[in-house]
Amino acid sequence: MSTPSAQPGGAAAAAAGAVDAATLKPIQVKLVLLGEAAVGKSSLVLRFVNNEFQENKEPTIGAAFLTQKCKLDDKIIKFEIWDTAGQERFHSLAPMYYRNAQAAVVVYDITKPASLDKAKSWVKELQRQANPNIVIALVGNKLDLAATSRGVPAEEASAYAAEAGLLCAEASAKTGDNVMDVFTEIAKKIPLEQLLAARGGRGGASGAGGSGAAGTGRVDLNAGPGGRNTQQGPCAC
Amino acid sequence: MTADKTHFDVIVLGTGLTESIVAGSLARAGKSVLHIDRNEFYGEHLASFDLINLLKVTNHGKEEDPFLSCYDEVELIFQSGGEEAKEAQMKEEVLKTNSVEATARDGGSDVEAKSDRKTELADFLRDYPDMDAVFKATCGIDVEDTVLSHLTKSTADGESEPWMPKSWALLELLRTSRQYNLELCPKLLYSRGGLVELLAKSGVGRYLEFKALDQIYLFWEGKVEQAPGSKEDVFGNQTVSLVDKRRLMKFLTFAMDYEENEGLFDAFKGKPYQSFLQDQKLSPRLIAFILNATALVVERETLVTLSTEEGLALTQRHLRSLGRWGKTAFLVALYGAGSELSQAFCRLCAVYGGTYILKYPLSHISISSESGPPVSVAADDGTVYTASWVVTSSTYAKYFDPEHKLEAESQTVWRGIAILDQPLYGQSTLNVTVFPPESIGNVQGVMATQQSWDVSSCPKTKYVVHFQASGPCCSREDIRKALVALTNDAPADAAKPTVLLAVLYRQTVRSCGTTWLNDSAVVCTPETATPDLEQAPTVARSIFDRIAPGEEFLPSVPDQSEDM
Amino acid sequence: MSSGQHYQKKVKTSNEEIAALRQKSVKKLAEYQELCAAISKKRKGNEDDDEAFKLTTKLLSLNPEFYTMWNFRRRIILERKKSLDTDGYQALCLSELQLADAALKLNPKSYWVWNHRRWILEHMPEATWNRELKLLGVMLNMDARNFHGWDYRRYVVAASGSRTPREEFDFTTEKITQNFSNYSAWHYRSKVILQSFTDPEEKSKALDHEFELVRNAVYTEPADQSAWLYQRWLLSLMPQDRERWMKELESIQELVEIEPDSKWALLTVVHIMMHLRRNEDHDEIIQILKKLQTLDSDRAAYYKDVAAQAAGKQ
Repeated sequence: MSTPSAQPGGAAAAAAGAVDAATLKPIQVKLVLLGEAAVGKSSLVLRFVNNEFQENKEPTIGAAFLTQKCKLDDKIIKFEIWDTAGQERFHSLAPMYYRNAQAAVVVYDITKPASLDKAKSWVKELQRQANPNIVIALVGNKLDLAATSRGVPAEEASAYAAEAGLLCAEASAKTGDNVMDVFTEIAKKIPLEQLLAARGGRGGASGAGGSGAAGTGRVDLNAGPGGRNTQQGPCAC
Repeated sequence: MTADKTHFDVIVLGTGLTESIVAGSLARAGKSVLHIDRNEFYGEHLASFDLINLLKVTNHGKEEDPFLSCYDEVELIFQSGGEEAKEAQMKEEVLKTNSVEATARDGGSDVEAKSDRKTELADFLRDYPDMDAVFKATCGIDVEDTVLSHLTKSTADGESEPWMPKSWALLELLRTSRQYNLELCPKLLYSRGGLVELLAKSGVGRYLEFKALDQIYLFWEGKVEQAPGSKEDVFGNQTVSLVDKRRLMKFLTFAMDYEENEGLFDAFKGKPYQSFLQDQKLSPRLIAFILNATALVVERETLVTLSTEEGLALTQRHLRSLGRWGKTAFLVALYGAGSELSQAFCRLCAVYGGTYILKYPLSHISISSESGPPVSVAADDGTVYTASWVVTSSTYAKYFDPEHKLEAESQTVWRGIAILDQPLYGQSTLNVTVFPPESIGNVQGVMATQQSWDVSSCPKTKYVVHFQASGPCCSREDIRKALVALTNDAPADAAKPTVLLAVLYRQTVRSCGTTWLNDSAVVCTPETATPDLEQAPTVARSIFDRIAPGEEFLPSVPDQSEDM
Repeated sequence: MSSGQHYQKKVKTSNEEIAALRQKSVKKLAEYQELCAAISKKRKGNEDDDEAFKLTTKLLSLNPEFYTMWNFRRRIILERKKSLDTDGYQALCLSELQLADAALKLNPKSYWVWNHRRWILEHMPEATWNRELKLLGVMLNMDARNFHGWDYRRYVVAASGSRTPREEFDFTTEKITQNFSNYSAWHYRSKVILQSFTDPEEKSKALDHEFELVRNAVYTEPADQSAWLYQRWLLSLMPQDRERWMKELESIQELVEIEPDSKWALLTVVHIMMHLRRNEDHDEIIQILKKLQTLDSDRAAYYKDVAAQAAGKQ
């Protein structure tokens, strides 16, 4: 439905409340997690999503993806967070995983230098496989252990991130330090206007390799019984 | 690359759709699953590739590989026309201008421009050594001799050699490789079919994206006609007579619920569907619509042997899928149906604890252990995995069945993938054209499926058409004839699309149905010739029920997308 | 040939709305009831103020079927108008239309909301007719058989004068092509066709084409009544043109050969034969009416009546 472009006068503002709720649909952003096993990928997400921490968390089971809303200025962003589900262990991550991801969090463990090397190779993989405009954040987890067992100097990671054009931060899933900030920084860097313009279907922007498909006419299988596609003409009955 | 754990409830070999649904459903039901594929990609015969990898897989030259050897008789057609040629030409101009400037500056020459292009090509071939064969087949050059040696001896005359413009154009096309998702075996989904229902119910559909197929066309008496899919199509059709419209509608209304009017077809049970349709006073053209464009039966022999009950069931399945999404009964999956669906069920398996190892060759499989776990699988790296069950695709059958006793027959499908510069029919981006047998001098009927950027098959300015012909005596010629009928030979004819690159190949899959070798091992066969994937969920279900009796098959996944 | 079910949104009564809300959460229900109470108090106290306006906005975006709220709102709008300049009042009306947009999304068949739109357009300083036409385009695309939409369209076209009859005629063609089982579209067509073709030759050509269109519709789906009714209307335009009536009769008789039990085809044959008053048709008329008495036993008495009438005419 069209909205008139100009609406002067205080009266309009008074009634706008009713319309706001309709236009302020959250913008969906697909975010993928990468990083070596046991660096705390899932813990970071659980801290972000539920604000909780479990000491000896079992590897993730059962979650297709987790979601969390995040408010930025006048927009609501709904992160759809995908976990690797262990498929990265034997280099068996499916192309589907990277598809349409607008953001990636590559996690390493600041106590384990080898995990940063692994993170770097994931960044390369992302640059090869994923959408060219993907926002990548390099996150050093376990900041709570910095005083006792830091193995990766903060400068080393940030120098690499600067060179590779990544966001960079250290955080602790255990204490919650900096976790929210990581996601907020990502949200700020995502070209939301573009996403809004291209919105259609499931909020995917452009596909891997820049071959983004047109946003119209997508079919949603879970649109309910006899679900219709509003983009198309009337149903053919 | 050893999994720390070596015993599993189930080992699944091959990531085709059936195996992937089995893996996903069993993990979902709490079984521990190890899923292995020798290839580095998901989907086996249903996989999707970018352009370079498609060319690599079809031009493999590896007869001993049990997967790759299913693909042979490849032929490449490359016409250096269209955008790539222009692009290459433009680059040439730019290089020339640069070298003119260079000449003014330091006395270089046009020769440099050419050797720049050669360096570019040589660099590309260094990165993609498998493309040697492709350049050889399409541009007639021996890479070693022509390109690399030319690099070293600088040709003083700077003359263009005949292979150059063609090679530059191919290089430009291959540079856009990653914008293609080309299926080895393209598939459609019935909008109300069992697979779509399963995807919706299990929640696996949330990983996938679909678009509705726009239109089905039928090649009839020398021209392409829109097949009337809906009531509105019949109403608006200009070529079908009023009486035929009524007969067609009457028949379709009956077929929609044919079981309720058994009296109407009782006498034709077990008899050919064709003769039943003739008895309904339907014209040959309408019969072709129903058989070819509704039931999507295109094999010559099947058209004759298909029984009335089978035919009615196919017609009904089609009709019931109409009107759910878009104009036709079908959905097209973005990035390739078989490949994406397999990946989605594998992800479900992984999310429920399944272990995945791709690009993992095996050396031995044993399914008849006297003591200990019934199944053991030895990998090339020496690791031995054990399990209570093994579920494998037919490309692993050689391990159980070295003497090919299992082999009932091989299923041969001739295929062609053509990249075009224009769509076949104006506005329509996703469509199917059916060529009945003998309609264009073809032996077997041919199905041609056009895909586009809308489903991420190719860049926005290109279109992809998949051709397929199956059944006895199907051949490359069938594919060629359909390709010629839809495109132009003479580049001057702008009305029809031009083929930029076409890959024709034969896919031969060992077909052993679904066979339980003993209580703990089952082999299943992919559906290659059918246009849909309706068999996979049924077969997967039967395997699931035997391994996890009494468990619910793919119950809905708890919805984590709701706000917590 | 598809399932034949047409997707139509059920009109929710306010009780059902409350039930739906209850399912969602008791808290929301309490809020809703609180809201109702607050507004009721305002209304009874004649407090037509900003506070009341905000409350009704909130309530109507939850439940657009609460029609007394729309009444109350109009009262407040008129009250507000007093303190606004023209621009301010225009803006208020525009935002009111937006609220109605959202309400129609919830229920495209809400009589109250369509009614409210009319009222706004008639009161606003500069009626935004094009905006209405755009909205109708979207609404009728979502559900081409929404008669509220068609009714409102006629109103907008008449009031704005911005569309020619021919444009409206073409609009119905588009909708009928998409789905010809559509009373509203055929009906609207009968309202615009004669003004669309004023030149006699053009008109006669157009009518030929209409008969052809109807034939295609009734052959495709003889059970659908809407095209048959339109055919009757077309015939009624030319009572003297026996040739035309006979031509249609012939075509429908051919249809009866394939569909001997089609009630509408049989009725049309009777209708035309009775109009033509040919002696040779008499027996057939009686025969068909007898057949209709068994085919459509609910209306047996009516067919008997017609039969008596036919017999009397001879």
